[in-house]
Amino acid sequence: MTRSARDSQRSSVLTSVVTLLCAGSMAQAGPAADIKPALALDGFDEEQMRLAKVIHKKIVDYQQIKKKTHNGEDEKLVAFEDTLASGAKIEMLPVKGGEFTWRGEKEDDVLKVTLSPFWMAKHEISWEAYEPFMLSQIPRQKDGLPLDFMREQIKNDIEFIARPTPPYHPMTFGMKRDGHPALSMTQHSANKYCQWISFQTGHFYRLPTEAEWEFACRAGKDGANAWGDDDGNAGDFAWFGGDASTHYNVPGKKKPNALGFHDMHGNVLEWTLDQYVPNRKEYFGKDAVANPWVKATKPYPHVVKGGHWQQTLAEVSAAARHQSTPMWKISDPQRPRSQWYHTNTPWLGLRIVRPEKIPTVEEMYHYWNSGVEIDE
Amino acid sequence: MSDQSTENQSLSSRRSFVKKGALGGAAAGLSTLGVPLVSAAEKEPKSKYKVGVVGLGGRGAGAVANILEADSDTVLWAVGDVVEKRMEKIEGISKKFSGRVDTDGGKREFVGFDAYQKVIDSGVDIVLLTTTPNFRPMQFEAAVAAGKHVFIEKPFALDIPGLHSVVKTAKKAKAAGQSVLTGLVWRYTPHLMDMDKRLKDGVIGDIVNVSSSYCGGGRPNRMPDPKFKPPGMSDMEWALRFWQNFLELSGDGVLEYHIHGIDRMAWFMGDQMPVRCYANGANIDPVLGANNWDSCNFRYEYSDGRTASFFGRQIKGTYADSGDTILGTKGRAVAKGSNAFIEVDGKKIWEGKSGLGYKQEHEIFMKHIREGKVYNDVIDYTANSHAIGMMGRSAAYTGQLITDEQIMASEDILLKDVKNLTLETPFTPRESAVPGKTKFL
Repeated sequence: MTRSARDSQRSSVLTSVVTLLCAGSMAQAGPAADIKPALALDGFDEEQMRLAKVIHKKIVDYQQIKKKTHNGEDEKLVAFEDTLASGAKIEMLPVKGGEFTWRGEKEDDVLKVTLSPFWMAKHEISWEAYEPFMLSQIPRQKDGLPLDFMREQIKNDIEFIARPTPPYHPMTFGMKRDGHPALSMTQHSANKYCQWISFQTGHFYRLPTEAEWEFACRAGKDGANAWGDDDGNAGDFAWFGGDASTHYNVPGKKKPNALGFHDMHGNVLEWTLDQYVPNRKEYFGKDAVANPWVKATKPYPHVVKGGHWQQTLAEVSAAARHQSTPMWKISDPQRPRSQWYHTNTPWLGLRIVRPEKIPTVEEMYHYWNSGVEIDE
Repeated sequence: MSDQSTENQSLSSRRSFVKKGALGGAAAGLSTLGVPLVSAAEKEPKSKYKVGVVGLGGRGAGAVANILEADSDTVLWAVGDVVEKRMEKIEGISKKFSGRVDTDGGKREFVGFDAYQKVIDSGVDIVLLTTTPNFRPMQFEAAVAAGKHVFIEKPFALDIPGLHSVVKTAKKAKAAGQSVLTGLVWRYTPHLMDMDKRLKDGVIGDIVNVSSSYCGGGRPNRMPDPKFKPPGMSDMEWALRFWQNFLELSGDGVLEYHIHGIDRMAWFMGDQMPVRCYANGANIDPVLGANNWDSCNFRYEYSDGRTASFFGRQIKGTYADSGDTILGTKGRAVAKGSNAFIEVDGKKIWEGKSGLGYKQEHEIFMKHIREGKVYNDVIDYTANSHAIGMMGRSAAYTGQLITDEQIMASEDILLKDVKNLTLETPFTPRESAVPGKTKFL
């Protein structure tokens, strides 16, 4: 679908969406979240909204079933393992909600942040967990949707989730694959991956916000880097400082941080949901925020965290903020550029989160559809 | 985060290393065409250059962006494509490059199989040829006959008769002072240009062997089962939509994709024509109804006894390097992904990296045009690389030893009468090749 076609479809459903929001469905989302710009201002893509509803229902139904089989008790915020259709497993660890002081690059950029509880993946997502998503079995358009004339043949809704077209080159960049982190996906691809595994597992997954990522990296509260005060110990916790002759590594070989997360520092950079803003306090216009999310309004720059194996100690610290740039697709010969791959980032990966509270349909839609994936 | 090498070498020093026409041993085949290389009647430089693009798919739109970025006094003047919907992209280009698109309110946006001629006739100075490649020799001939400078995307010929045509046209362009640059982008990628200069300076001695690979993450534009072809869609429309699956429209993955790696191999071997080739290949993960292969393995021998090999694969989920190992009498050079290094006596003496030269190639192209110099890489080397690719393909398809004289004398035309091609033209793909059974044509 072209952008203009999509826009017109958006506006055609805008009216009904506004009605839906006014009816108060967003009001049930729980404690106010500081999300800017506000969600749902530009309408929804009809098909993506339909899919979000299908998956939301699966997730809510699954929660009810689990509650029934556990004598009416809510799911506890404890470690668990999710299994994908391919058999790949993802270990999830709990992060209790809480408060922390969020310091930015500018001296005056200090925010008090309150976060709701969530689970986060113990490891960076592996090729085993990601590649079945990347290598779709059915032919797809460049936007990842099934070919227009084949739609009637498709019976399972999961195939309507936009997925990558085959990569131009193998995405391991000549490095090893087995057990290693998946590489060089766009933020859009990472978002769609989260939607795809949500459909499979009945658990809501998404990328972490920048604040969630940093909170987990600092192991909650106002923690330091995993290695504490002595930078000399950083090598026990992180792959960093490599050069062109080195490579990424199998996650979990270094020590975890205090919450049990491995490789938050170094190895591969990790996507967050947020657009990069230089001064977050200025952007939000207040001193304290809850569940902050700087929602993307353009294809670049978005925040990636944790640094990678070729970067310096300062660059792999919890505080370091990295930005995506069009240079990451410098070797892409096409316009628009690929929605799915960065051509020049053999050190970019992802880690997922699952919030304890199930979001509304509209929120799910926004977490999975950034709307800024078209990269002229 | 920049991947750009800071050590770009100057154009003049690089060009001086191209000591002879690149057709090498193949000259017997290609040089008998009788168009003499006279000194160029150089074209008078102007300030603003009008660009026309024929084929506004993803690559065409990319090439437009590349040339508009590479030279600030260029304007997109005319657009041609067989698909009307692609014209919607022009608005986006116009937004991104403010004031650099002037199609006279859409009057110079042409749709149809004859759109290429309308673009050529629209008053442009430069034509970018980026359609499906089966049209390239015909469009190139028309553009050069009309006095245009041409950016010609790879592959520019899918069979030997097509290659002869392109070389003949390229010689006419050179004689008339028109520049031609091929979209074999690795040739214009800064770190490889830098490495090549050092190799030509002799830092690893004489090069005795090059081993190259170029591997994809899967077949591009994989075709669905033809039973899903919508009613009313002709066989030719279906084939053009999934052209990367067909030998007749893409030249096999060998010409459509692996040509990049074959060109690198040829480059580092000194742009000569091998004299013998034996090869293997297969359709390991076949696509129903498609005849292109997904794998190939070529062994080349040169007249001086040196050897080169090429490995290509486009199967999803498979591992492979894309790169080159270049062995010299005193050391070796290795290019892999965006990185390269040179090693002598076990020590790295040089390292480089950069992104692909999509913008740089247009900078070189425009610099020559602006300075009234004639650029022509088709004659210098890229025709040779295409010939080497076709030699490998024939050797693999037939399973036989193929010599340079033999391949250059091939009269096999993959798709006949391209000039009169329409959506109603019947299209029946050949059987996928079977080594040992398929005959050399």
